[in-house]
Amino acid sequence: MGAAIHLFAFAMEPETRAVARGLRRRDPELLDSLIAQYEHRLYRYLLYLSGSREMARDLFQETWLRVLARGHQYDGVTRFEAWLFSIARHLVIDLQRRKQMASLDEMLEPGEASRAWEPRAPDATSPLAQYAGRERGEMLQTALAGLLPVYREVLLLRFQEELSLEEIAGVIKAPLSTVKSRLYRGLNAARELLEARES
Amino acid sequence: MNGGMNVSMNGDLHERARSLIDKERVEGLAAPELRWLADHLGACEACAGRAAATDAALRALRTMPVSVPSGLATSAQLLVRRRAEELRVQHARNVALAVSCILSWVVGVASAPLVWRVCAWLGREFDLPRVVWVLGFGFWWLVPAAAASGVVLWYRSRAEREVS
Repeated sequence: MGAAIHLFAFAMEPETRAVARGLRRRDPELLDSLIAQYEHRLYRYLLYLSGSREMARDLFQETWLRVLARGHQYDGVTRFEAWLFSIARHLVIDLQRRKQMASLDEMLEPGEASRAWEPRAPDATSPLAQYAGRERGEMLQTALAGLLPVYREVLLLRFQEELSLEEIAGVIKAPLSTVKSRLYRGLNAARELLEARES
Repeated sequence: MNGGMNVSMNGDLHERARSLIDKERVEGLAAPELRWLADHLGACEACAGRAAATDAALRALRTMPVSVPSGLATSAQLLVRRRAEELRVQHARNVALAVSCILSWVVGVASAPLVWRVCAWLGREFDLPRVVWVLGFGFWWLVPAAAASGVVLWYRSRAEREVS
């Protein structure tokens, strides 16, 4: 297992180092490809954190401008997405601070979550796909709207982005124990919400 | 008494199974724990149901539809390219400024003995007290450097503001 992880890290290394070199040079081609590559994942993360499509779209642009400006700080050792998400997270927190809130934990009260959570964008898929996915999608969204952003965030990073617990701790700048406890609580809350919704 | 203990032991087993179900998904399990859990889930319908509910919740999370606004990446690419160009121009300007500062300093140092002599000559010609022409020399030396430093600092703070 350890050897496999090492081999994987070794195989990954040249790519992350190439990204770090390109970011130091502010290589426009590299930035273009990174923006395209992480479009969906970064937007989804920002949407999960901010709970607003409008805000997520603005923060998406801001995040890439920050990547451009601070690209020299990426070490090329950690996974790029972990670094990218930590930048995005800082921007969300900065934005919330500007709105008189101290941290992500205070972003939304449980009651407010469902009001702010609006992940559905104007429909862009085919009418048939829209019809098929609408009911299920709405059910999931409504259920997951009840999750606190701090739980939504770690669940996304762990189960959608498949970051390791250590990487998540790096992104959210919290001890490993906090990451674990948020994951357990979040998982429990998500299960209960979906069960309640289905019943 | 025995019956009570059995109920409690069974409760503990289910509690352990529930905790392992979550742990398996969050942190992963060691092989013995994994075997124990598999055995337990095979025998206990309630815990197997909980495992299925957990998987359903995770599946729901993973497959939650999020549609990206059209043109999001394209507009970000344009914005980033424009800012990259601005930064490049700014960098070239900063380099030019730094080079001119260095040149000015070198010329200043090289010409200092000459300027000192000129100031001394002016002092003698106009019968000025020594302190006056020495101060004059000092100003000649300090004012351009102070002005250049001011310009550099102003550029720098403006660049930082723009970047952040």
